[in-house]
Amino acid sequence: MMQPDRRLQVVPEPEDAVTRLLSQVGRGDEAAFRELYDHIAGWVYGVILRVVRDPSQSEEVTQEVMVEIWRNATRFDPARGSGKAWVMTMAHRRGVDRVRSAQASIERDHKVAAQSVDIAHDEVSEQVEIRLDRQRVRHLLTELTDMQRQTIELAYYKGFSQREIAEKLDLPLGTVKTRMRDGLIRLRDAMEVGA
Amino acid sequence: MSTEDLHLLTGAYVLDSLDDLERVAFERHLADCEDCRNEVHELRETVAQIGAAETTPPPSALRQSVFAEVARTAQLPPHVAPVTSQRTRRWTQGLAVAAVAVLAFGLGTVVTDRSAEQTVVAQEDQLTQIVSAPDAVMAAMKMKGDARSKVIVSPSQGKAVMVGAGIAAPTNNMVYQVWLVDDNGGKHGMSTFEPNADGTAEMVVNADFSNIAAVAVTVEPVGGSKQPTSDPVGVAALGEQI
Repeated sequence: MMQPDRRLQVVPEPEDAVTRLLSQVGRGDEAAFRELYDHIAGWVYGVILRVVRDPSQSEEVTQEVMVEIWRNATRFDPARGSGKAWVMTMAHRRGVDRVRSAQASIERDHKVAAQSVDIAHDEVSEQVEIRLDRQRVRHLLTELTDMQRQTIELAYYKGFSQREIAEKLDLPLGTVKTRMRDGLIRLRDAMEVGA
Repeated sequence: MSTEDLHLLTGAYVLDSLDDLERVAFERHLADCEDCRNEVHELRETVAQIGAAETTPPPSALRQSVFAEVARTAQLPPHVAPVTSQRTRRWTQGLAVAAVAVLAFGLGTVVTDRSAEQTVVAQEDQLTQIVSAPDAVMAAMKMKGDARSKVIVSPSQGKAVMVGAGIAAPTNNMVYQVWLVDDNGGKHGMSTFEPNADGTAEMVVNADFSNIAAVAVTVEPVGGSKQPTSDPVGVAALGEQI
């Protein structure tokens, strides 16, 4: 996280700060929560904003997720994954819940209808802004096949279900799920090696 | 869905790209499949990197607002003895509550006093049976906020399963309670539940559904109520199938 070595690491370091803080928060330590907040707020807000798009709704969802992290930290088990993965799983799930909720999905359907399906290249190229991690993740995504990248981006950044993606891309459902999995496995392997 | 197909769902699962029913089916598979659990664990780390790369500083006012809410929010009790997978524990808890509710309200079939482990196995079989029963009907539950839920009822089996996502944790000392609303508008209190950490919830209800018109959920004090003390946060009319 804070190390000068910015390699993307898949294997969680047992002693990473977020995992350690989360364990402390799990014992009711409010000061540790404040410290944890400063480590993770950008990740949580960033991924929710990416999915939800609307800043004020994203802020609302971020607040909910942060309080959920506090409530549920008692059940965090470092043996089952890193603190970062635990936090990001919760944040992304809540962001997707927001865009899939009834009202939002009606609005979204209208917007999506007018949108081109081939959003993948835009997603990759629109960010000229240089954030090292972001650039590396985007770079890794460009090394996937088009279909792997599109299915992952539509699911993760847009919150579409695999069925919606199959429909949008006019692909069999079986193809969508295998492309997602193949793509993530390639990303995992690339991150392990170091970008 | 065949087991082979389920193995391929790890990617869609960690991307939150499964719908609620697919997710519940896959999570049941996860409890039994170590290979998939390991793959999910690894891919979650991968996906967390994709997500964290989106880092954006939140509005600065959020910090104090979160801390203020945290200061007045109680933490959940830790899970007791990690005997088995979390998924299995949830089922155990859900079933225990359901059984208590059925006994307390004298509704429908009384769940027999099998041991917890046997019950869990039976429970998982039950879910498959309910969902695949020829007379199973599915109804969407309209809920407040981001929550969504589906109810699948098999009257011939006297069972229903409710799966939900996006369900906010109830406030301190409150829980969600399931109600069956009969054709005459009578409300029958069933199990209480709390959503899982990720906002998901699953609940099996055993009852005679022959005269049940709707399934509702209210927020009640811990322990549940004999009659609802608040307006429902969700209602599924069993006539309105999806």
